[in-house]
Amino acid sequence: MIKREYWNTRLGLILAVAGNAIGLGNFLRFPVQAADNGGGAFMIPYMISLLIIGIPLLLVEWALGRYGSKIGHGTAPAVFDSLWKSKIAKYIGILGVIIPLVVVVYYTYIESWTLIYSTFSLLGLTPSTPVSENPQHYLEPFKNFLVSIIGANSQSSLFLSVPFYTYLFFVVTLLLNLYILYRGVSGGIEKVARFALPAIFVMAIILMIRVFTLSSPDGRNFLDGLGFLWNPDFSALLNPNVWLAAAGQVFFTLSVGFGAILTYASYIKPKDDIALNAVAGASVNEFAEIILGGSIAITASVVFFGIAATSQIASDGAFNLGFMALPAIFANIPFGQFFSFLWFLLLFFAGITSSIALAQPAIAFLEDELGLKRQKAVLILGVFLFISAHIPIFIKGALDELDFWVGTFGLVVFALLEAVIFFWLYDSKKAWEEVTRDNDINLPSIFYYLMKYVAPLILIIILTSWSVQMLPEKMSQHNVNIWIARGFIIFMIVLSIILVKIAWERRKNGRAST
Amino acid sequence: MEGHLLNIYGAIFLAISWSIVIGLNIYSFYKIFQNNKKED
Repeated sequence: MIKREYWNTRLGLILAVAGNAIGLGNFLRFPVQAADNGGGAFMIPYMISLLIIGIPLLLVEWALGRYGSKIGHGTAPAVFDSLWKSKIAKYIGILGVIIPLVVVVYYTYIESWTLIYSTFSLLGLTPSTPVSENPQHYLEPFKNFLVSIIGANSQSSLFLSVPFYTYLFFVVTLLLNLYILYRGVSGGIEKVARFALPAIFVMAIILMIRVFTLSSPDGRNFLDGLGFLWNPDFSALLNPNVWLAAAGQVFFTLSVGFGAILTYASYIKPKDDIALNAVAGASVNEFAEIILGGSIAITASVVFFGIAATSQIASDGAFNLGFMALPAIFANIPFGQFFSFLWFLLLFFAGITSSIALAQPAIAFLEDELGLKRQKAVLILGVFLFISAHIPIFIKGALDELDFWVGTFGLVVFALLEAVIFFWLYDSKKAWEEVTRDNDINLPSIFYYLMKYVAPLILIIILTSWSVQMLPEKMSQHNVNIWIARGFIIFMIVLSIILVKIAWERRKNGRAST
Repeated sequence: MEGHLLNIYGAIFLAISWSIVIGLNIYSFYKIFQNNKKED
């Protein structure tokens, strides 16, 4: 049996978990969601969702992970199999390995765009045009720049024409991820988190100060930006979609339902605290989201472009705000190259601390269930990621398709399965004991009801609502590109089932770790 | 000028939200620090 690793320090663990949660969404998705859904009033459903769905689901995943530490397996298939005495438990658990793995396949690629932008900003290779009256005209070169990087200007209906340098930056990003994973949990992931998290906060604070000192020729300043984001529209509270958006944002920002927290928590000692660690990790993430994320991108955009243009940019997608509007702003302020470099380096650090977390469940599966050494596990993962990434890199629409099924729907399904298996199919009393034992803070008993009833019910409501709103349109799409992405997901499911079968056969025969 | 200055309600929501987040951070790290001291 391979000796399992542990985190070196508690601070390192909390920073690694916060690094997993802090991603591009904190700086781009949150401000757009808040501005679109009632401004300051959005914070009422947001905070309620954090309390009744976010923290309870976090605790469930942390508890499952600590249970994994106790049984010596940091993967959802092994934990589910141990909790629920059913033959299908381990096969359901594979979602906790496939979901983060498929997300890594395209997330690493997006991460490499931030490295391209960061490097190009430093070298002065990003577009630079004089300010024009019409923001759409002004943004045009920046839009073309993004289109050229991802090769979306291709004439083919199937393939993107990705330039060589994009491919090169992706390979560098992938190798960097693999090297960190190769160094292990304490020697790689923890060390990177201890450096990257403080760096993210320092860079974000510098950018926040710069944004707060911006002003436009016609007199707009940061108070206009904050007003756009925070002035409440109380009528939004009567709209159920606003409540769903808040629950969805809380869910995504805490990174529950990926299976990555389960794996990270399996590297704590079996009698270590989980409650205080979970609250501390969530607090750091919320600081990055509400205070820093809410003060940079959208505030700068309102000061520079005004409210109408910012609404238009934001409604076109959070990516446009980060990858078009922000570089356009930086191109026209003193030392803009430096601030643009800082912005994209911040996003790169936020991205890499998330992607290594998402890759770790696959490493844990290869180590804990198939008995492979870390070096071999990282090599296999590297070859798999390199080959698979060609789908989102070169196939038009594949990235969005993978993100919809795995990075959106899959997460909610898996989080629901975690709560149901733990509190319904295992034993709710034992599950509660497992959550509350050996903690440094006492959890109020209301959390028992939140974990058993409220959080799963809200997840079912979110799933039902998304199914009604999005599935009919998705299911009507049948072009080759879409089916390549769907085929890849099906292939992953089949491959995982086979691997789980092999692992459990070997376990039965006593040839792998038990 | 097209503006939308932060109003009193927006300022209250911002102040409360930021306070909750900062308070949560102070609480959790204070507790961790306290526990570390106890273990030492």
